[in-house]
Amino acid sequence: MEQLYQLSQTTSLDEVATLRQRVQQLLISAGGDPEAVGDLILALNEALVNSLHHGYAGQPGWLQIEIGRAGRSLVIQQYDTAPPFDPTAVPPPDTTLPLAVRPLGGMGVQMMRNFTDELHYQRTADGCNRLTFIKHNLFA
Amino acid sequence: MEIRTSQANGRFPVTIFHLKGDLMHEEPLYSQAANAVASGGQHILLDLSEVPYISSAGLRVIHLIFQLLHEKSGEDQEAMKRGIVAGSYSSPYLKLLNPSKNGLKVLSLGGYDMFWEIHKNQQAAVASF
Repeated sequence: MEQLYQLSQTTSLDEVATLRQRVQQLLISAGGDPEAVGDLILALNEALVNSLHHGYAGQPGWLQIEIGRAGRSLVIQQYDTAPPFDPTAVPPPDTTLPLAVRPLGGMGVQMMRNFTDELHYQRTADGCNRLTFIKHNLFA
Repeated sequence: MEIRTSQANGRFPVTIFHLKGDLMHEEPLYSQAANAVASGGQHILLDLSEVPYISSAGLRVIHLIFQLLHEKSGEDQEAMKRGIVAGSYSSPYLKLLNPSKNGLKVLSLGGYDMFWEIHKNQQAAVASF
């Protein structure tokens, strides 16, 4: 896999927009399909906010992002050291319920699922949450 | 996020929240909407023209504002359910103006775009209440 980008730093919620824009520009300049990149960014943004907001209780926390290209596919791995959380185990929200009685929230994980082709979770041996996003055919 | 508030009159007085920046937190939008409702406001238009991104937390605050208005209005639950089943329901109290392409994707993911009318023109949006 060809590595395109790596970032490893303490990040705050206020920095997510800048980080998101940086990754988006990188992927588009690397030849990524803008529509597919946009989808992936929606998913990645949710994961970053989720780590910082829930995992680190809104405080700045260590994040590592590795972005690689495997053929026409894009692979993003996001690491944090927050308590274990497996988003792939979260049941999907019932979006058939009327809005007035529909539970609030629960859409973040759904966004991660819907805007990527594959979503994988692993708790690593050194105590990190590792989330892997794969978007196929992102590159021509 | 920056929020500017304005008022417009159609058939009803409408409170318009002009948002600027990513909609990724409940606050300060929820408090401002709650204040508007507590002050007698019943119709809210969220101007999303300058909101590049809506996160799930942003979706949640729009949902909260919908619930606030729905509860205050005493809207007929059964009529609403019938409308939802028929696919014809949209909130008479909360509408959206000019969401971005990303915003539209997020809104459509949970089917929220069925419940909140989306307008491209502020005057038409105000007149639609």
